[in-house]
Amino acid sequence: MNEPRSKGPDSIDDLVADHLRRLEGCADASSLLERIEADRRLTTAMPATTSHPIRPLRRLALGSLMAAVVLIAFLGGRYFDSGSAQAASLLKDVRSVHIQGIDRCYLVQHAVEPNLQSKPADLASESILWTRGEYFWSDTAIGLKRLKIGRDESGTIWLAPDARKGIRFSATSAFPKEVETLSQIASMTVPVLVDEVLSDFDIRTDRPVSGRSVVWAQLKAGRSHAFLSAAMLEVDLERNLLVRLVLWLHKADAPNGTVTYTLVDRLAPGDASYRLESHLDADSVIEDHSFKPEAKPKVASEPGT
Amino acid sequence: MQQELESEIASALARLPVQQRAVMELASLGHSLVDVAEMAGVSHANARVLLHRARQSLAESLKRFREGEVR
Repeated sequence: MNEPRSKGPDSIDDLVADHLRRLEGCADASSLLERIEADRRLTTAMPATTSHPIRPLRRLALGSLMAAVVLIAFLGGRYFDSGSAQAASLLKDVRSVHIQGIDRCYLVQHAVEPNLQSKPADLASESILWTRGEYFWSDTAIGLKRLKIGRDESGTIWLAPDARKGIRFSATSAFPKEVETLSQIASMTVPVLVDEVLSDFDIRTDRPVSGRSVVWAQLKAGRSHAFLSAAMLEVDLERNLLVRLVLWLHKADAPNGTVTYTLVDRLAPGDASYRLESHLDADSVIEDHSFKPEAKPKVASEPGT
Repeated sequence: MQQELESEIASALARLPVQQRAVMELASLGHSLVDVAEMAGVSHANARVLLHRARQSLAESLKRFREGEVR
């Protein structure tokens, strides 16, 4: 019982199908990749300097970090009711593949809601995201701004707003909850990511078509999530690889755009690319920042405090 | 022209409500409406309506690129 497809060479269904296929081929990523290749610099780190928190950067960083790491959000391992067992099993297999230390590259496109383009941080963005197990880095273009962000093998989160300046947040830094959650999601090793993201979603899958399955995740009735309302994942069953992911974002109960991740087949840029220094000029400055611990409400005085 | 069309398709898809986009993309990927309805957690009739509306929205957005009308 199929809905007849719209007919003709320019039918909507065919246009969309062709568009999705082209996204998989991802010819559009070439310019970004060329840019990344041109920017690769393998320099040594400069001495750290002290500094102060930078709010605009932090905001950009949060947005970019979200785009970079939410990819991993649905690769956790604990889910759902028995009716979703097939989807759970599928995602478990995908997670076991993605947690391996193998470089994978995704083109990440953030489309904003048409009526929410008033602020710079709300502009559409396009990124190349490289992931390798616990690490990731991305090169993001947000309007006229450009930002690189990553997490290296030490757990340090870094930002590079340009080639002359880098910012590091030590793994021991008291990250704000949102940053911490997103980083944990990216790492795929901390159980909290499942509690933070998946426990509030119903997940279903369908019968495979042409060696691929689609998983559809939607917020459970009455549940809420800080920024996600739904997601669609397309999995290559032969390789257990996530080849496409669409996230629907929301903010204050209103739609807040979509983020689409498409796996692209590219040569890995090498170990150094996961480190901040490789994205900076030789005479650049690296600043070490830390977040102030969030103030907790005082309930009662403790002895010795 | 092709690049413009690609860009418009991406924008038009991004503008669709969650369920309309899901139903549209799943259907265009070759999934049956029964499967699409099951995955999206809606009735078959609702899936049909969502798909129809999605096609209408996309057809409107892509009007200038297309020669004919979509059913």
